[in-house]
Amino acid sequence: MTVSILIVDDEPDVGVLFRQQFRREAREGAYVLHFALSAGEALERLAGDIEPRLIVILSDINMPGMDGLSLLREIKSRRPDLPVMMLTAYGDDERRRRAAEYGAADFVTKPVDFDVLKDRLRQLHAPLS
Amino acid sequence: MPSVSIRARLIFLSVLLLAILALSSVFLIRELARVSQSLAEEATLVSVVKNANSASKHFGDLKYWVTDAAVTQLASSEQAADAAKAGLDSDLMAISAVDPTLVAAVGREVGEMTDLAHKAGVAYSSDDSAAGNALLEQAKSHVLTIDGEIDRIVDRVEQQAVARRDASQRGAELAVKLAIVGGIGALLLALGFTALTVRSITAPLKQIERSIASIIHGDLDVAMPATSAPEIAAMTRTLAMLRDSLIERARLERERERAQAEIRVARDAAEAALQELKAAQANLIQAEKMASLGQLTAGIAHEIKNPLNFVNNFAGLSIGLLDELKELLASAIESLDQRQRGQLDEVSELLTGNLERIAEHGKRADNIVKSMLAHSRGGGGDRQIADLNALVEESLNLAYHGARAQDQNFNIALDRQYADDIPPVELVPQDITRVFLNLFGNGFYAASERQRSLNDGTFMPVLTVTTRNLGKAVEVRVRDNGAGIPDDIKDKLFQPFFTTKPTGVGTGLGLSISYEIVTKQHGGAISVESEIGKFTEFVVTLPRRFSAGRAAETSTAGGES
Repeated sequence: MTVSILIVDDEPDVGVLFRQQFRREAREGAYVLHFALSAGEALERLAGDIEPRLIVILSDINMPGMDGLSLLREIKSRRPDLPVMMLTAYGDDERRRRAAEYGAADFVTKPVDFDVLKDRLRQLHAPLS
Repeated sequence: MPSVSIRARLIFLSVLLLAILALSSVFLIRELARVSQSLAEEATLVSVVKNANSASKHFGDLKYWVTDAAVTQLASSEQAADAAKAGLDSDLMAISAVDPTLVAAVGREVGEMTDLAHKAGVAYSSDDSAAGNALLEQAKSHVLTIDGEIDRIVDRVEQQAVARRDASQRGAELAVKLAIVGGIGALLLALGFTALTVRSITAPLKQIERSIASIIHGDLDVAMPATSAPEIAAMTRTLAMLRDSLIERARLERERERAQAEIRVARDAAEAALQELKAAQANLIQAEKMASLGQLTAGIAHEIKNPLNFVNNFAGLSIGLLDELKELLASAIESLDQRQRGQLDEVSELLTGNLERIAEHGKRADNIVKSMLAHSRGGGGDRQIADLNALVEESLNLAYHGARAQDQNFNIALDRQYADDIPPVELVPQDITRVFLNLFGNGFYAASERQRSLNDGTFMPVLTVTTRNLGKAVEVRVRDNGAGIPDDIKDKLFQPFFTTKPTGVGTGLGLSISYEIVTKQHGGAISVESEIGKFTEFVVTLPRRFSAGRAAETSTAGGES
């Protein structure tokens, strides 16, 4: 069963990187990757229909405009059951603490270890499949 | 005679000497008078003796002439008898003083004798010879009596004269002895008084002289004669005033010197304070430079990290993509001839190698960036009350085994000099551990490099770690016997990216981060001491209580800038 992942990052190359990393999974029909270049765009996408079913949002923290932590709170207020994982270059304690406080499912520091990330995604997805 | 004037003393002495002279003179005069009187008496007695003898002779004449006149009836005889009688009477008169009664008795006997002789003469003239003879016999008996008496008088007078003479002689001898004794006594007395008087004057003078001598020689602790003659007392007072003024002058001199010394001390203190101020200012400037450099470093690190992540990610991804490409083209490659296949393999290998190199250097850059980011990480760690010695030991073991893991041949002697009175210290353990790891790593590297460059087999690398309790702070010294640090690079040691290690071995951030952690985060200090060819020693001072943000006040790090 194919599921969707929404990736929020102001860097367009993040999209390129994820597409290449998830090429095999996309080809096998496991995941459909969606990208938003800002928190605002992410909320718009969330308001509309994302097909197939969205199982997780991966969000950067440092972004122009609304940052990832505010986005996290916003998402949690709209879709409390939707897991949100934070991806950031700033792995400091304060951000970790706040992310956990706001209900982030995970906290991943960049550079992303995709093997680890894929494991996490499988754990998120497995109970439903 | 303590307070009698010298003049009075001399007058007194003169009077005394005059008195002694006068007394001895009086004494001698008296003795002389006595002797002369005795001599005069003796002379009188001599004349008396003469008179007595004369009386004896006159009586001899008288008795002859009286008898002759009685017998012869010659007028001439009678005259001679009368003359003799007159002489005898005068002699008796002269000596009557000797024994008046006896002399008077002699006179009477003579009278009776002459009467009887006269009567006998009358009887003879009347030719009554018998009566005459009888009368003469009576006269003769008187004569015998008178002779005896005169002899007695003469004897007595002579005895008296002899006694007088002996007495005179004895008196004279006694007078001579007394004169000698008295003279010597007077002389001794005079000498004694003179000596006493002279001494009473010269003794205090000598003391004054001694006092003057010692004052001249600079010894002011001198005694003055207690009480003395007014003249000497005046001198003493003057000398005491001189001494006191000298003492006062010496005291003022000492006070002046003390004041000067105090001024010197104050000036030195002020100069030292100025130096400290200058050093503090230099440290402040250095700290400020380091702070801005640190911020810049952190900023650069953040900016670089994201693109670097892409480089690393895409490099890794591309290696996989290349393998995938080879799989996809496997059948097509099979159809190529051997030369084309060889070229393809070569290009593919080069590509893979390049991608691996990109990934490798990307990782290196990532490590640098991670270290740079540690600069901005201050204050985040948990502070704890920690056992410094345990922390140092833990870090030392970690560093040692880390170094052994990297190089099997690595070896170094570890000299642990931990003080056992180190109090608990408040610090952020993971950050301070990082500082120690840096310092130990640098020490290991420096000592090993020296061993390698000397290559003589006798050099033994040693790392000495010393902990010390400074009261309000603790000190950790990390000393290696490496080649030492030249002065011209000492002040660059703590700057970010400064390294003496070959490219790829050191990031140049270890000491910079350590500096940040020790001074900024812990309010301590880090400094370096080194001697070329001998040693390098890093000194880390940490306050016992956490006081971050006081770096500029307490830091002495950064060398001389």
